[in-house]
Amino acid sequence: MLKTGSEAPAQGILAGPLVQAINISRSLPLAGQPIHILRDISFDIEAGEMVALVGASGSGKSTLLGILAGIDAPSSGRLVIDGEDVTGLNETKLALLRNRKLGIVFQSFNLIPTLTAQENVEIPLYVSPYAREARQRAARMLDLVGLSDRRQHRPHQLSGGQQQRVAIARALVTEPKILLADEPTGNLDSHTGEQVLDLFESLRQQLGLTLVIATHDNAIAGRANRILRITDGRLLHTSSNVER
Amino acid sequence: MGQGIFFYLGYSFKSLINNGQRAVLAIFCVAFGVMSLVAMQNMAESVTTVVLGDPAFRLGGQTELNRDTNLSPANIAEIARLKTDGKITAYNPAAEEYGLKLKRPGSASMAYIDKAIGVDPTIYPIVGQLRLGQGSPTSLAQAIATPGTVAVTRDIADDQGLKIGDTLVVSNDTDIAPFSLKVGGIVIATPDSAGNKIYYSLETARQLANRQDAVNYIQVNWAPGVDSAAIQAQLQNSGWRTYNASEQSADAKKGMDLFNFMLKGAGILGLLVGGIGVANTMVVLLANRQKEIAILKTLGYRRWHLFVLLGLEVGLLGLVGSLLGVALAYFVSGGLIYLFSQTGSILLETSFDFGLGLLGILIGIVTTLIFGMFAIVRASEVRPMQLLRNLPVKIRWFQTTLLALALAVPFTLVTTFVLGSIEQGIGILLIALGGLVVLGSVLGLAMWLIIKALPTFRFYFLAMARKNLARRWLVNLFAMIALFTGVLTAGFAGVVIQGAQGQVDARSPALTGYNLSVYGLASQETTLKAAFAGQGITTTQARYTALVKSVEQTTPPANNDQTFYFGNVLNGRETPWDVTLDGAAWGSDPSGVYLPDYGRDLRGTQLTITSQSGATRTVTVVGTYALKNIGSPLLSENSGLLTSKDLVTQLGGPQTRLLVAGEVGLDRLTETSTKIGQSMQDVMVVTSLDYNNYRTGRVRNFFIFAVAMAGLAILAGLVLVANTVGLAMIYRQREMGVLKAVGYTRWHVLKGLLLEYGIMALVASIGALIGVQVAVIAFSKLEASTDGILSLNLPTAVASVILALLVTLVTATMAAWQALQVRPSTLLRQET
Ligand SMILES: Nc1ncnc2c1ncn2[C@@H]1O[C@H](COP(=O)(O)OP(=O)(O)O)[C@@H](O)[C@H]1O
Ligand SMILES: [Mg+2]
Repeated sequence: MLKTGSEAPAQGILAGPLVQAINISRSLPLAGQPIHILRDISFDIEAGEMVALVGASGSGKSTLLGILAGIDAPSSGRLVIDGEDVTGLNETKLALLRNRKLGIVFQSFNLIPTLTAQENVEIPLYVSPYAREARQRAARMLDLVGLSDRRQHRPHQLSGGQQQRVAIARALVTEPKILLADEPTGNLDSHTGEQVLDLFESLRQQLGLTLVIATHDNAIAGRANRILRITDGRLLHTSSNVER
Repeated sequence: MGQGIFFYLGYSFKSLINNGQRAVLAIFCVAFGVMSLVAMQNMAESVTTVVLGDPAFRLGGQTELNRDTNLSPANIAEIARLKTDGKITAYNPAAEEYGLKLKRPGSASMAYIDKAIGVDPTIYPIVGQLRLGQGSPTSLAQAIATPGTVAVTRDIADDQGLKIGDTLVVSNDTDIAPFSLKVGGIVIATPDSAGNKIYYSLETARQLANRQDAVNYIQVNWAPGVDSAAIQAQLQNSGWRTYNASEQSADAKKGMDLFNFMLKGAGILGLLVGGIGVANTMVVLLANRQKEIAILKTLGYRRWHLFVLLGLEVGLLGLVGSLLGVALAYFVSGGLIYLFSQTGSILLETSFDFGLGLLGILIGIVTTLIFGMFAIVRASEVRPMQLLRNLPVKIRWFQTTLLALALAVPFTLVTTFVLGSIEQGIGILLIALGGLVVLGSVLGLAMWLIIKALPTFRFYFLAMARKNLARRWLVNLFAMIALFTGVLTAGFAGVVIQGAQGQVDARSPALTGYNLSVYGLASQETTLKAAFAGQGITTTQARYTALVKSVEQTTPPANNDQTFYFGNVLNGRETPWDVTLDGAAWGSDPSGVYLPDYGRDLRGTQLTITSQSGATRTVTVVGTYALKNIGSPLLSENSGLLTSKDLVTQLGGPQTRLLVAGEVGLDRLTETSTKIGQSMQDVMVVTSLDYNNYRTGRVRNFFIFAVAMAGLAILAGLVLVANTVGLAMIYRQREMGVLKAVGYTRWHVLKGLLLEYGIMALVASIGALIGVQVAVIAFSKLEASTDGILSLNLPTAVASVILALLVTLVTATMAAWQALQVRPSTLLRQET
């Protein structure tokens, strides 16, 4: 399943996978000997897939997700997203990548407390080509996640589940191809967690999204097409679920 | 961005509002900086234009002409001819009297006049302008043409409560007997902007001096193109002395330049202190928002987006702070200019340059941006990965240093612009930056040593404090620099206040002894003495003075060919109460006179004395006299011959001056002098209180001025200390919540905090006092006149450290208190 990235076509429309991770390692140069958080990880993700990144706490899920999200860089190996090798990109190009092609959702929501839900969703649009239609787009996106009546509320006036919906709307408002989520239900009760996952599922179908969700919860993993299991920074095996 | 600008603005505005306390602290810092800059600059401007005007304005003309004696009509005619010949464009004959005192009849309050001048009101002034106000007629001629009328400057009118139509009395210790004048005008602007002057006509001057030749100098303006040097040479040949305005300005200008530099320097340092406050606030403010910045970055914001976003926020903060600062400057500079004008009786209008205000707002915003930019750029370094895991912010020292240097450039532009010279602009910045670097290193080193010295075990709280100090060392270093600056400014200000207080005290002579004296004419002696007795004053003495026209030495001294100056007054006593005599016993020769003790023995010499009133007597020198130190500063020295009261009154006739001095209990001094003043309207009552007021008046005004300036500095210091500590507390609210969640009591948390801040305040304030001592030494080396006046004594130093500690701990407690009330449960919901 390993493809030589250098021959990967430049256009995602062609047969190539949407995400290609090639021999990715991440180590931290701590005093004395460096610690290896991720070791030699390779996998592909096809467009439209829902992939679960599963592993015990401390196994390296967040680290890997950070690398996929363009907010951290691998120590070695290469990462190709949508046919573009993003490994050595500078800050500006990475920022563009994050804004246009990737959306990310965190366990602790990370909304800006001073802004309303509507404004939180607008933020990424002002550095995108959609700045002119920021209002309408953000409103539409909030509709989509079922929060049209909560636009003017600030984060502290929303429940955890609602906050996470706002975060999801924010992640998707620039129409990225890939949505990355780090323990998105970790701060929510199981019922609300279910609802958020339902939302992911429906958005994936409506928008043709590719989803990567890091979680230590096997129940969530059960809803994915495919599971990437990590232990001690190594990719153990991948298993495909039957399409439901 | 286009559309986004509103979003950006809204975002900044909201952040600003949400920053609450922190934003307010930063705004205060900006406001303080802008206020000091604008107030000082405004003051420098008003003072320079006024004090450093055309030197001719100070002289009263381009050239002043005078002779050994007062000017005769022929002398004046000689100058008048120069005008008919077209050599000069204008001339102003002036009759000036020196050492005049002024009071309102019936009032006990007396004032010394700087300049009393008789002029031709249709001509005066020949340079500059004189303006009347406060109900005065429109022209000087209308105000003083009538003999016996006078125009007084505004400061005198204010001090003495004089209005148009009021009467005042003037006199001096020697030749001018108490003389009543009626206020015909109040002068609000003089050519040289100096106050404490009175103007009257030449005719009034003649009556006042009781002589026809009252004019003692003439000011002239040269016609364009004439060779004034040649004309002056000719005049000198015919006995004139000349003095040109151009000769006098260099020194004054040098002094003024230094004064200006110090004022503007103070303004810029204020701006710098404010800037440090802003930088400190912004560092903490943005450190608190690392997460938010990381979110923005994750969503695709680039560094320049963040610069714009946060820059707008800081700019907005700068705008609000600057507006506040300019508003404060308006009041503060008004007050300072007023106080300053009191230090030298200057007729300064408390004006405010609104262009300067606008400029101040601009400079305030730019400076805020410059200092805030440092924090912004550092904050933009936050890595988005932080959202997935707590990461320490990496400080890139090289970049940070480069950044600091790059930010120095625009600030240099500001300082250069303000000081008007690139060398001074760079100079003051180098001093400031160098100071910061040295300060940072020294304080950092001291902190490091203390951290090393603190025990790592046993004393749990000490160990914890030690860890916290080490952990947040950059924020702490900033806080310590701010604390240091605060204590330094306050400490130095304290030293200045103490020095000024010492000067005031040193100039306040004793109030006891002969502390009441009344000047009048010998003809009033009975009434006066009765008035003294009526007030129960038992210790009474008198001096008598006759004005002398000429003294001729009829028998020349045997072995001395030098002429002796016998003075222009003849002093008389009933008894030699205030003199020691050498020679014949007092009263042994009714026509004997004593010479002032100049070390010349002219005993036996015959003198023919002619008085101003025309009487002539031949007398014999029988000895010498010296004034005793009777411990009363009221009774000034007088030169001239001394003889018996009888001889003086015979020679002086009805114009013989009289001084009666008495001793009154201090508690009754004012009351007594008022009563005597009220009972006798045409005498001059002077008390040692008046004298002290005169002696200390300007020093005291200077003292008040210094206290006002120093007060601002102390305020700045306190604001900075409070700002620093308050910020640090807000920064640690979450940590306090966590500590409480794991079972700490409020007191546990507070104890730890106070220990940390106590250590920091101690290090910073001891450092600052060393700084004050260095400044004191530097000042006495630079400006010799401050040597011995400024000094830091041990009690003050100890008090300063204790005060700094107290302020720090109290602020820390107050700032922490709110945070300590936070229930740990809020941690569950609140995201910071
Ligand atoms: N900055 C760091 N310093 C030291 N160890 C780190 C750092 N970042 C991550 N690690 C380690 O890397 C491992 C993986 O962390 P993480 O990706 O957060 O795991 P997960 O998200 O699966 O719980 C952990 O053992 C963690 O301790
Ligand atoms: Mg994780």
